[in-house]
Amino acid sequence: MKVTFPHFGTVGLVIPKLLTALHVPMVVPPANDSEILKKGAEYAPEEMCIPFKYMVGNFLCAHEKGADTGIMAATAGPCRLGEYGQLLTEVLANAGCGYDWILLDTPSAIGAKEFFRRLGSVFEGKAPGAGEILRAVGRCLLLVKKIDRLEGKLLKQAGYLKEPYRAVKLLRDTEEELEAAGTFEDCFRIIGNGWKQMERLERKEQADPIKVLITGEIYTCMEREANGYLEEKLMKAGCSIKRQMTLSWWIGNTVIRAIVPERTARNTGREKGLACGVGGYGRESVSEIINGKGFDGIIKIMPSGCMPEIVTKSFCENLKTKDDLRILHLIYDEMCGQAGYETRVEAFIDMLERRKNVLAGNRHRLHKHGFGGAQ
Amino acid sequence: MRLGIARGFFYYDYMLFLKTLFQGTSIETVMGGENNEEILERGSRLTVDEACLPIKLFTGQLEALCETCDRVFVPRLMKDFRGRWLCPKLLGVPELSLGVPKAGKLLVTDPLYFNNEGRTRRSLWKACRQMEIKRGKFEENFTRAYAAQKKVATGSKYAHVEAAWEFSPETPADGEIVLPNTRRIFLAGHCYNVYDKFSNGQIMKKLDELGIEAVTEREVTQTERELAVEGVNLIKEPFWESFIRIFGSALHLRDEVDGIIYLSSFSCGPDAFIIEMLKNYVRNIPIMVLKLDEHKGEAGYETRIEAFADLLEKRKAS
Repeated sequence: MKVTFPHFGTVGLVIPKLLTALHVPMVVPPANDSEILKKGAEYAPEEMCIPFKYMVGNFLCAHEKGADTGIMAATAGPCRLGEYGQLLTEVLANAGCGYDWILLDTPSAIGAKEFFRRLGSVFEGKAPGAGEILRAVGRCLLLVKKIDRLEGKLLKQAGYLKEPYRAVKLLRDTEEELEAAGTFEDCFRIIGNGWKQMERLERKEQADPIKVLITGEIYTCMEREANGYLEEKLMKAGCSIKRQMTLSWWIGNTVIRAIVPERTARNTGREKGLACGVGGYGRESVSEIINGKGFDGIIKIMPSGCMPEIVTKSFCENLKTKDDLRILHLIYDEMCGQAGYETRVEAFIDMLERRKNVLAGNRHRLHKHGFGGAQ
Repeated sequence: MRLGIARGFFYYDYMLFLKTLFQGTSIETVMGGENNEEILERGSRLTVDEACLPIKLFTGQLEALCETCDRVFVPRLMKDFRGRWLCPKLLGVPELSLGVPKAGKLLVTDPLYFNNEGRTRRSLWKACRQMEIKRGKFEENFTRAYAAQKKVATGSKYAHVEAAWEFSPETPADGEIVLPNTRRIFLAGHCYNVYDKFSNGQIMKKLDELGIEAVTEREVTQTERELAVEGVNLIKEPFWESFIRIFGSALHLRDEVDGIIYLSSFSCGPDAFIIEMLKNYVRNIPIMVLKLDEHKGEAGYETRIEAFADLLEKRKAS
């Protein structure tokens, strides 16, 4: 048995380390690019969303390398992600590759016992000791947390640097090194180096960059190929970014959802916006938009045809007029042309900059910095 | 008080429920009219571009009703009787219709989980209290409505409003002989596409003219559908109500009909999945997918239906 998994943000960096530590044979599918998407779109139904097409591409490539068992996270509705496993089976069978599946449904839907039985099936009966597993999983979670912290910090810092592209470069270099690294120890060392290098980057004095929140559908947020390297574009343009959807956020959210029933979670003091979950992470992204203070603009991204995000888009349009928020919706599909997106993002940033530094709507800033804003 | 109920989505399945709920109270229920070009035009102006055709029609209906009624009832349906989810866009219908100018008139209920009677009762009572319905009357009506709806859900009773569905074939002239329909097809799709004459361009009438009898999912009971789905051993328990309804009916009917016409609204999420599954599991009869959108060009539509009728003819002859 050779295990494989679809790419999903930093999952591609972390899971190989975990499986190696547990001595599970595995195949890492090649990183997402336009070729993978093309391959996936060839077999996937036309109207399925982009993440599915990427995943089909991932599994096809992994099959060529000898993988025969797929691990997939799944939900029990109502969004299409829940049926990915079923549809992948059909589509891949039509394409001529048979896969066995380990579907990791939410424990609340299938019961914790069944969940762990499914998880355990990767070992084929030769499971290492419980201590070893716990240790590996613990370090894996730690690694996820560390990667996300470094990444988050770099995204935030980029706007404050003299040469923001250095942050992009550092991020890319670190990720490349992490991909090549073999063990958890190597990874921790690389991340430590990353922090040191970041502190050495030269900062602007009195910087006041525009702050952008990126939120929306989780796959397009986390998978850079799927959103046309939106973050890097923004970083290079000198913005300070926060991305809500990260792997550690996802893990935390899933665990909380599994443990705390919805009724209790309602009393956390954060205004939710939507009266009920509409599938995916629609409710969470709306809640972040409502509660995220101090952002000049919000970029909300989704794959074309994503049902929960269509609902939240409508909700946010309403919010926009009510709360004077500036939200840019970007919808990604398998047409990878970048020019249109670049123009829109540039125009959006220009608009934010102008609002922040020039328009008299913000008197306080005018008094402080005069026309032209902080240099 | 006049309470508007839009003709769309839950109208086709939960009509009996809603009618029974408001029976004998001071509330006069007003049904939305048939959909038409104007409703569609209004709807597409008021909601986001990405929304599907039924959402646009529904929003248009809401706006039209807001003009004539005191309140407009918008139930937020989450799960059906068996605890299966509805499409995410249906869960978010109130959000998608936020653009309606008099949105304050919309009476949006709390989430309704029909598999949980107590919770449904509480949510509906919260909405009904705003309309000055007496508690006792509500309890009595709800119990009856819930029982009636259960029969609809299991398939032992029809809920569909006949007017939305029936078409009247022209009475034959003197001496004209009307031949019985020779072929049967299964008209698959979500109820709001199959039973809405406007969105499907009067497909029942067109099929009848071509000598084809159409059966819909209401010919199959819920148990039959579920058994049919269980029979194909899926790797995962399906969680959409519409999946069981369409896929199960198709599996059950696959040996009794000559073909399947699938009415699907453009960019429908569940359909992308259901159609692929149908293609894989129903291989003995031809399937045609008709995409419905705001561009209501008739010519291409008719050609496709005729071509499909010819195909059925040829298959029968060979």
